[in-house]
Amino acid sequence: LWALNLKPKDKDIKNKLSEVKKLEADLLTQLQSARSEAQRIVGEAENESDKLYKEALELANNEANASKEKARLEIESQTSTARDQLSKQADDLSELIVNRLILEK
Amino acid sequence: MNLTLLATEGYGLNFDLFETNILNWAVVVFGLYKFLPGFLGKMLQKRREGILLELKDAEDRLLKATKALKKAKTDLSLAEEKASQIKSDALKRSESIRMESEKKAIEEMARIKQSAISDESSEASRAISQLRKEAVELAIKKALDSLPNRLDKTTQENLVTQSINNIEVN
Repeated sequence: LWALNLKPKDKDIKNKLSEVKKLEADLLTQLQSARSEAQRIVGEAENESDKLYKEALELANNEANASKEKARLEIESQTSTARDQLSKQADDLSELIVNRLILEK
Repeated sequence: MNLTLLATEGYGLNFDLFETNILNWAVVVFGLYKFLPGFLGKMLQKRREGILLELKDAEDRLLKATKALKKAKTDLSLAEEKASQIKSDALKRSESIRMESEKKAIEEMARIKQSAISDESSEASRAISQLRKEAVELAIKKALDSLPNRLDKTTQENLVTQSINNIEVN
């Protein structure tokens, strides 16, 4: 039997077992690598989204504050103009009040 | 005699049973013929069984190793698919996170803008109310200032009387 070389060689078995171990190691490596990659992708997306969200809010707040400041200045300007015209309208209104009081007699 | 002579003078055959130990040899040969096959047969059988056992053991180990290798290859293939799936899921999740964040940001920006518009509107309303109040106060003040000059005594009395009547009615 030995002369006919019928017995499987220990080297073949060892090689196969060695290949099994290597494949198992590859398997674990691939899974770990995939998980790490997945965590990195999700982490990057979260960070990027958070950054963009903050930037968008800052932009919106700045625009809102600018708009409110512009409106405040406009209101102040128009209030000032209106106050200038108020005296004339107050004269007319007072005349109306007086006339009404007198006419009611 | 001739044979002995031949033997002493060179090579030859000695047929003397006692001198040549033929009987002894015959006994030995017979013993070997009788017992050696059994002894050797058992030894060879034992050896054969040992070799067969070893061969079977080696074949079993090879079979196990082959199966393990096949399983490892299958597992690796599945692991590659799983790894691919994990990455694909991560990409989908990241896209979802981006979309969700974008939607949230748009909603928050709209709320901030709406709040600003509301503040501006309130500020304008407050200014208008203030102007209206100032106008009324000024008009009343002017009316009160000019009223005494425009009332004669009769008109003033009538006005007072009417005012009193209005108070009573109310």
